[in-house]
Amino acid sequence: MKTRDIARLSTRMFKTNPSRTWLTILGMGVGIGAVVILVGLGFGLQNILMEQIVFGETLLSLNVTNPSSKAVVLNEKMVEELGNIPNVKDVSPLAQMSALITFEKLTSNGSLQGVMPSYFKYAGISTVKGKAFSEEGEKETSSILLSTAALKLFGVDVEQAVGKKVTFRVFVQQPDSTEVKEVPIEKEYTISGVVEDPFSISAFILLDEITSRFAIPYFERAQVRVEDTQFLDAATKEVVAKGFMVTAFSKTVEQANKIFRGIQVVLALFGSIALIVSSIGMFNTMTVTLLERTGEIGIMRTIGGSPNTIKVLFISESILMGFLGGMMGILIGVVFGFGVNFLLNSVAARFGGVKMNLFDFPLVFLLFIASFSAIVGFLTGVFPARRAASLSPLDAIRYK
Amino acid sequence: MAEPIIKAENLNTIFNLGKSNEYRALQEINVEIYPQEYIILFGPSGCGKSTLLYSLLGILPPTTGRVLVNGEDIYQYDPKQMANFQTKTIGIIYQAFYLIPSLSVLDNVSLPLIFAEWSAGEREQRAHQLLQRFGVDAQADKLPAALSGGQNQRVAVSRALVSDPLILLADEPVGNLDSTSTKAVMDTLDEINIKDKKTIILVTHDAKHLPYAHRVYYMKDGRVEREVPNPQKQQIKSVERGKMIVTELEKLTRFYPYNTPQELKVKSVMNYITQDVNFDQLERMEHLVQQIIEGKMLEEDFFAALMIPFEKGGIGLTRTYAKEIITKLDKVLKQSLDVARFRRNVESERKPEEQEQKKLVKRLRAYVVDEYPGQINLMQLRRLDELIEKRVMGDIRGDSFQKALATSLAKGGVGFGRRTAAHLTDFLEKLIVQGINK
Repeated sequence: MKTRDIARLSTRMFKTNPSRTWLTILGMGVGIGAVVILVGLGFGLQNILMEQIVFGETLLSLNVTNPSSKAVVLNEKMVEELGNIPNVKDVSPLAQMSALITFEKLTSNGSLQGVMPSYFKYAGISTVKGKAFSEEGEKETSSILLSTAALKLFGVDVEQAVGKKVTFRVFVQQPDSTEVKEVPIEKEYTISGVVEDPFSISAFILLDEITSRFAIPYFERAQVRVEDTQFLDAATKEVVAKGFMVTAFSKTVEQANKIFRGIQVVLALFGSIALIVSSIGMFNTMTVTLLERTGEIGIMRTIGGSPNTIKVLFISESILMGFLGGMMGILIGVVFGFGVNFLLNSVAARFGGVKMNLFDFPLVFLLFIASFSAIVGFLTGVFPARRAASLSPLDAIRYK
Repeated sequence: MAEPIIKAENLNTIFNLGKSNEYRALQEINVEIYPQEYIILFGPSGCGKSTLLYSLLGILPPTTGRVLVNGEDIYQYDPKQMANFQTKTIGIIYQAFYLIPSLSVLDNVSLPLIFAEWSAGEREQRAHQLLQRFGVDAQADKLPAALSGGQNQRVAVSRALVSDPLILLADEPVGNLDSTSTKAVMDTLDEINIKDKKTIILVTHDAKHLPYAHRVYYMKDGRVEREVPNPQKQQIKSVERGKMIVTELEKLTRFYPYNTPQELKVKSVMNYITQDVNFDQLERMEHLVQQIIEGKMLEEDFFAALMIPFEKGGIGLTRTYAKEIITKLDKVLKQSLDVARFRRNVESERKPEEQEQKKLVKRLRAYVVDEYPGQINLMQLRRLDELIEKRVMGDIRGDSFQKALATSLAKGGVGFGRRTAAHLTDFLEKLIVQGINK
């Protein structure tokens, strides 16, 4: 039989029994929709977390910190040594000092951090306003980046912070004593950007600005950037061997992805219950259809329809119903998900929360669902179809 | 001599084999059907005629025996060959049409071609061609439910012929149709047999259709009882000299299809003993009398037809005999009018006038007494009037009437002799039969 004719003959149910057909499709749709919504929630949660991590360079970086015993410390020499580990591309250290930060008339305790421009991308720190230090061109020696927490403390809106001036007084530990001396930096810094960090009151300036003024005994931490992901483990080992503590975003991401895959599976399982219920409903419909069509099947069998033709007709009908159910499910799920996203975001916008999408539907996932629903349709149809094909034409034609 | 196109060899079909409700639907069936024959499988319901038809269609495998079509055992076919066989070689129409209700007439007709993967254009052209031929092309886009039974059956015929099969099976195709549609469909089948040269196998229990066939297989209780060639048709299956002789029995079979040959022999000799006219004359006379009763024929023409020689389409009676017949007929028909009037008054809404009814009863009594050569007394007359009124009212039955006539006056009867009572009762019954519902 030609495909066009199969399509025409197997869409008759929309004419002969439209309400039952659409209700079955709707049932499938609700089942599939449940799966789409729940898995979409999983994807959404995953995205919310992952959005916090800047991908790319961050995933290729190791975060190296001093051990608490301070048996080894990250000094200039060590940084150089780390840079010499095979396949390490770059090392970007961070120096940290306690300081009093003065913004307009207000002064607060905070930490002053000296970094190289590359540090931000290795550490995955992004600016919410303005720009981080650029790696090319003139050194922005009088630029400073403030954390959002600092801005909050000073009561400045993020939008208006850029361009304002800031001054510092730095606490310098006296050599060979526990005394701390307060040393002012006789320079005004201009805020060039704001860094996302709602917890610590900190300011970033270029590393040179600190090292040229003060003697730094050791760096607080360093980002070690390797050439490629495959060298992450080897580099980690070497750094650990030197006595430092290492954390890697890549590991965190990997872990998180694993967890989310698990969450998605669990959510999908919950959704599957709805899907199973609706599949049984559809199976039932196909079986009823079979009974209803028994006479027709008998007729077709006696006028040149082979058992195979009958099977093909039945299966294509159920595949079509399954697929349409899938489409409806996708529609239900996506509309629901986006609706919730929109609601949450408008609430968040009103109450000053962070904007985020609780639901996310990757195209690949939706394509998978569409084909999966067709497969479910096939499975619910294959059994009645086989029975239809094996009916004796005579019994079928006499069936009442 | 041509080979048979269909050959059933020692066919036995047993349902529920080995169970307590085992049922032998077909037993030792041997049937040979030749190309272009018109065959009727005839018998009462449950005789296995449809079972045999389905066996020939390839949807009911026999328990033992073979069905050969064009020399091939059709139950050896694989599903694909079977589908092909049911498209190219054999087609079927059913009593209930079996059209698919959700498909248009056009699609129903083209369905076999859809299965055979014809292109849309070609198959629709073919379908339209057939629908046009059978006069239902105007309905092509309608659903079968919108068509009359006769139209549906013609659509079914179109579907059966759409892939130009050699054999057309018909399972009681006119069982659900009114007489006009029946005639149309039966004529269509005849035309398909003669013009399209298709082999036709018709299953029916209606003896009216028997004249269409070349041969009739009479079936009873799952067996073919006898095979009767139609003497009015040029036979296709050659009859071996001396092996089969067409007798009056074949003719009688048409009049009395449900009787056994033994009973037919009795009928044949009874006709000789009791009647002056033979079965052929009777058949024609019945036709003429029917026209008289229906008022479609004048008495003069009837009289003339009775005397026209049989070879020229008449009955071939002598003038005296014809006169006698027409007198009797005239008497019965005229006198029965009074029964009709009486009944009409009884059945009408308003209460009948007693005087009028009494007058009618008196007239009917006069007709009855006219049949009695003797004299009757006043008492008999009164009793007779009462009885006739009761009988025509329907208060007593024919046999009670007869009994009362034969009962003595002393016992409250009319006091006729036994034979007279029977004769007069018969006569009155004839009048009543003609008079009711006229």
